[in-house]
Amino acid sequence: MLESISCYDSIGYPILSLVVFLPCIGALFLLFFNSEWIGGIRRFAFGVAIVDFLIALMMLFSFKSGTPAMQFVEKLDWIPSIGASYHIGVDGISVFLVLLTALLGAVTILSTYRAITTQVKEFMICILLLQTTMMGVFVSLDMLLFYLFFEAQLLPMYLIIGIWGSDRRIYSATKMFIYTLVGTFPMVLGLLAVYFNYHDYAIANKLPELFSFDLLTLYNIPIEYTKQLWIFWALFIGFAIKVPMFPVHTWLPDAHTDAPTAGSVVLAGILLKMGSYGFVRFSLPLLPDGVHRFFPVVLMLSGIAILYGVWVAMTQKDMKKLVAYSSISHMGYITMGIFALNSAGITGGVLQMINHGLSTGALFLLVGMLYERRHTRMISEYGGLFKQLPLYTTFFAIAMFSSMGVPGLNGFVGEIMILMGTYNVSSIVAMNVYKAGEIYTVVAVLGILGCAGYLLWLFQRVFLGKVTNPKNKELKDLSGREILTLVPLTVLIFWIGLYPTPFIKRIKPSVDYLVKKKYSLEKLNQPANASAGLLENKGNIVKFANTQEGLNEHSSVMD
Amino acid sequence: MNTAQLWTDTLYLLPEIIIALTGLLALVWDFISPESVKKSRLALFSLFGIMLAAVFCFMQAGLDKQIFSNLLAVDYFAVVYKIILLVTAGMVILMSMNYLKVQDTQRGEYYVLILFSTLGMMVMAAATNFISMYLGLELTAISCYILCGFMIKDKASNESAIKYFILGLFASAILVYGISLIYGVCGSLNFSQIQQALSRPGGNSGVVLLTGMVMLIVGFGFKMAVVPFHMWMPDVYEGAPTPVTAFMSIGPKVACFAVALRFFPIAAYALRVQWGFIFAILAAITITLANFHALRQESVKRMLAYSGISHVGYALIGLVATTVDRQIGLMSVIVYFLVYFTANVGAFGVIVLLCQKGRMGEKFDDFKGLGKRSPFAAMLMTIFMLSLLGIPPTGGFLAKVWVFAAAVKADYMWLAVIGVINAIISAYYYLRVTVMMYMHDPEEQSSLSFTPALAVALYIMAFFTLYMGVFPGSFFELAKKSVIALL
Repeated sequence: MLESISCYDSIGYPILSLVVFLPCIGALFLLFFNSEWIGGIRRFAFGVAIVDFLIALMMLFSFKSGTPAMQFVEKLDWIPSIGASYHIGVDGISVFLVLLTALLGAVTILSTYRAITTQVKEFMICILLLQTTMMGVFVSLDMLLFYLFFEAQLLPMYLIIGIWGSDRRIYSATKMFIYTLVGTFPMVLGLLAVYFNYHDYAIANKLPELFSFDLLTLYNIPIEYTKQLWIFWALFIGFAIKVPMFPVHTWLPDAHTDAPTAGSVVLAGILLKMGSYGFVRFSLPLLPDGVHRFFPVVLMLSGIAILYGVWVAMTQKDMKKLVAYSSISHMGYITMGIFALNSAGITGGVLQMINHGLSTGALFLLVGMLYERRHTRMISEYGGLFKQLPLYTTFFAIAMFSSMGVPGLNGFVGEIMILMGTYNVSSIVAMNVYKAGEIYTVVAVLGILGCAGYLLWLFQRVFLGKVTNPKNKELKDLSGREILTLVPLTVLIFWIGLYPTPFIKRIKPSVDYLVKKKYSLEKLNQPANASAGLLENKGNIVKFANTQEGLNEHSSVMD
Repeated sequence: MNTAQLWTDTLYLLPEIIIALTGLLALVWDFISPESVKKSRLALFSLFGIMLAAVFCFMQAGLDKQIFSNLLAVDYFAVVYKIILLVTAGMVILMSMNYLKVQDTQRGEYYVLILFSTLGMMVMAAATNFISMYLGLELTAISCYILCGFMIKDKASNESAIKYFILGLFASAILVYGISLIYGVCGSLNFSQIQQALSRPGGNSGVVLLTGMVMLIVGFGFKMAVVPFHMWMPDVYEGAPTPVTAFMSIGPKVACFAVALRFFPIAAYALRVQWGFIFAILAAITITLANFHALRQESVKRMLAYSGISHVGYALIGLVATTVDRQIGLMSVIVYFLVYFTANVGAFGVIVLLCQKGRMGEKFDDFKGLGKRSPFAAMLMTIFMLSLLGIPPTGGFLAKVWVFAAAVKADYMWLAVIGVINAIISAYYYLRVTVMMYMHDPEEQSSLSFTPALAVALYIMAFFTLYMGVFPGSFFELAKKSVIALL
């Protein structure tokens, strides 16, 4: 069983609960503020978010690297009669997502000082509540608790889009809400099936506890092959809609277009990651056989998403929509990496979750800033902005290059690891049956090229050349506050790009543990395992072992 | 039965006696007091009686006794249900104080009728015999007929009362006929003796027995407003004064379910294949049809009436699940009603809040811009809607999850899937309320005045709705204990 280190042994107090619930407490305090006192409300909300980020940073400093263990674990009774507990903790996979959430929370609040001028109090309450629920998703180690946060996140996001959004805000908000429900309710059935599977297992093996929603316990309970197949799809629907994967992505462009900038940043930066995180935390460890059976489908969907996102992004006239479709394409890389089912791929996927949060978050912020100045997002309205806004253009270029995966910036590191993982997928998992790794690598590379294409074209149309539109002549460059929102993201973009070791060192042990436990050769050889039949040829096993070593070499380069 | 036994049994009946006495005293007080005395004092007096009864109810927790030669049970299950009913009655009285003043129909009988109806439902919750059950049922029903028609100048209210009266009598007749058939086969009206009779070899078949049981289900179906026996309900609900609607949307259903939970999974367990099948079909069509009707409503009150029907369907899923796993199935129904009643009473409370002179506050349009007019009212309504929809961190989410869990455990996967699909569809009409409140501008600028009584009721309900979502441990424990008392 996965080792877990209690928060009392490592840091002495329940730091995770503090990080998660501080924004919620802040929101409760905000309820009693006079809604006329806008300045105070903004400062207070920002203060809460910054303090939260600092505490999260403190947590990172005491986070032990090089171990797959769950850290800062807290476990209390929640609903003892049905075996649900308040069980939270972080490992290498989730710790950076928590940190990213805290950071983006502070950044978005700072970015709304000019954009949100009506019902400021309600807005700040929504954003802070959203923070709590998103971090709750990443730290939950109890299925019911996870589901609670996963669903609770809906309402604040719904209100943010529906109240402070533009044009078709009500349509987009409702679409997002119902779409998500379509995913999460089947997901519940899947989670419940896992839960009762434990119940049956506990009765058969006379375990002391008959009911448990506890993830770390459930990881060790075998699930029947046929059951895994449908549970896989039940969970898949929930997570895939959140990611969103092709063909259930249609809510995303609408939600992004109509959301206020802050909403888009949080949506792209964090909310989408809840889906891909769900794959890593639930599907992969709980349902290894189901994943083995269906990962080619997921890879195919990811490949389609990558190319489709690129294709549609090319044709967009609206900058925000363009970034939204690029998100679909980029999330395709992440799911592809995760379902490559090897250490390099999953590590790359997890790292890319953070990278995407940084680069796309920054892009949305930048588009929002331009919108605040000119109240339009149409590409054709702009041109030659470089002369007017040199500073703005610089930040935009950095975020753009990061999104494209230019070496030296963060996107490159994540994408190269995903490519490595994808390339090796055939030899690692299903031997002579499945050898599409090369094809997907080609698809991914094509996607990267396409991404460079539409982003550079966007850059050319908006920033280069002469100022054609007279309205753009009086634009002001970034203010101090705006620079402050962009600097932390830019610093991290460079840091991960130039020196990713501190990040990979923390992510990799958890991923390795998962791969070794559920997707290693020995596991595949077990007679109970359905894919064991694929390993008839001994020669292949030797080949496999070689590749495994080769892969390790690759990975050690990354360290 | 000797006299001493009678006296001790009577002591166990103290909560019911208190309610009955409060009602009678209130009736006399209303009669002898001059016109100038405020009716709100009567309301407070009734509230006091209800609180006293609730305290005595709490003291009975942990007992497990049959009183009056097995007519009534004093057990954990009865206590939980009686508390739900008493709290509902209390909240409804708090809401009514405001409503009756606005509508200018302040009369003392109102509170008396609510008390008597509550008394009837408490008897039902404790009944372990068809005689006592029927006694409670009729007392409830007759009080409710009058309450529906309480606004005598309003045509809709009169229509509501007459419709309810005629169809209610019809349902009672079917129910009684079913009971008599079962009596004919089993030779007893007592649940535990029926259980013994049915579990004898060959005791669970026969046309007469099955006919009786089907009629029983039809009768209960009418009272609980299960599709296809629900036709009376939306009109009755719409016409009745809003607090009465709130009362009727919880009370009679909860009481009927208490009886059903004592009878079907326990006494008629030998017949579980038959009633399980019927209830499974009923649950599926109830949820689906009610949901589609609710989608089309223009009045929030009517929408809540239909959504109430679909919630009964969800509770039925739990009842169906008892055919396989009685503990989880029963627990899910109890938890479901604990959650459903807080959210539903609260939602009707907000409608009462919106009700002003000459404006009923029932239409979706009346909710426009509530987020700006009264942020707190809008926030409370959002909490209630989320709970009815089943979104955390409100209690509704756990209730729904646990009902689905019961269905999954019982291998009624298709029922769970139907429940899930309908839960998604229901999002549309619950969200529509939030859309109106937050995403449209108000049509009038006047802010709403919270009267203290209404505010207390709303805050208590909202608090418990959230509390059950965040700290549900004790409620599940409560449900578990009452299930153990039943089995």
